[in-house]
Amino acid sequence: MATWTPPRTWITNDLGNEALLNQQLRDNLLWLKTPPSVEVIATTDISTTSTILVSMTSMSGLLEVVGSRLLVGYSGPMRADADTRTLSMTVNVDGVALALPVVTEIGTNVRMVAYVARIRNVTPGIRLAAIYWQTGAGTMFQDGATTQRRFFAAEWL
Amino acid sequence: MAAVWTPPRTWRHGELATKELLNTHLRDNMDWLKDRPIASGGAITDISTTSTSLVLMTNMSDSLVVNGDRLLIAFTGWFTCDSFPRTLTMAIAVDGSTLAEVARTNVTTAGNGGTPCHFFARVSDILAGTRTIAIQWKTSGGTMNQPGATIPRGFFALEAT
Repeated sequence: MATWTPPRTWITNDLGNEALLNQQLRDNLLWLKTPPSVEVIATTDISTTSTILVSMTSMSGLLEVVGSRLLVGYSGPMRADADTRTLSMTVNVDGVALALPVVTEIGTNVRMVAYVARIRNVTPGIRLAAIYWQTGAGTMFQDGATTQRRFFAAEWL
Repeated sequence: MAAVWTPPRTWRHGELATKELLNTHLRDNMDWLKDRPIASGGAITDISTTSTSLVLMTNMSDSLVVNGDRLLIAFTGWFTCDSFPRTLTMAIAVDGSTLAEVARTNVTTAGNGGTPCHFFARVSDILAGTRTIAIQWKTSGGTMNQPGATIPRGFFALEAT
């Protein structure tokens, strides 16, 4: 994987030698084309009865952050044990919620849930990005064996 | 004309950075990064399906030249059905083959307001080259409608991240 180096401020008579061109052009171009990211697809059935936000099984991954911004997405259907259950979801980085939770009503009939967030103020370094979820009451299900759930986080924008 | 991506050159000692090399490895690659390949579709027509196996959704297909192997794909739309409950399933297809079923939701009738269905997914392992990205759908039974004349449907696939 390419490494990002802060772009050089060139000065008069600066020599664009082999090392500088490879670092400043080749490696930075490669990093911009394919920035750090993680993608997870899960095909297992999961559920939660937690009324506080907890990590969603298999919806997390490590990536090395250089800047401070991530684009994070979740996609997958949900259902509940009874109608008018409340599903809350958020994005955590290293266990800290960095996005406002999204809240929607889920019932016994399966409903598609798609969630995308751009989060800021991520500290550079290797970070664990994860989707957290909770139910207002009862049980919330994600039938991954029937329709997969997907998660990705990428340094972008 | 769409910019072309060329794997960045490994420069050697004593090498002359000619205009051809700089235009290929600096100008064109910068242009590609600024305007990455994208495929998209949108429609304001009413459509429906009675198919219980995945079929192409009308006007939800487009081609792009993939250089890497990753795409961000998003779809938005609103659905109704003839009788509750019907289950809508949606998938992403590449070059006519289903890549993954990525969305599923129970849909209500128009009289009950219908049901939105959106997804936003990143997919990997796409072969480089010109690829046709399409949205597929099916119903669990009866008739599934996408009233695009009332609420348009749209999708995009973007080479990114």
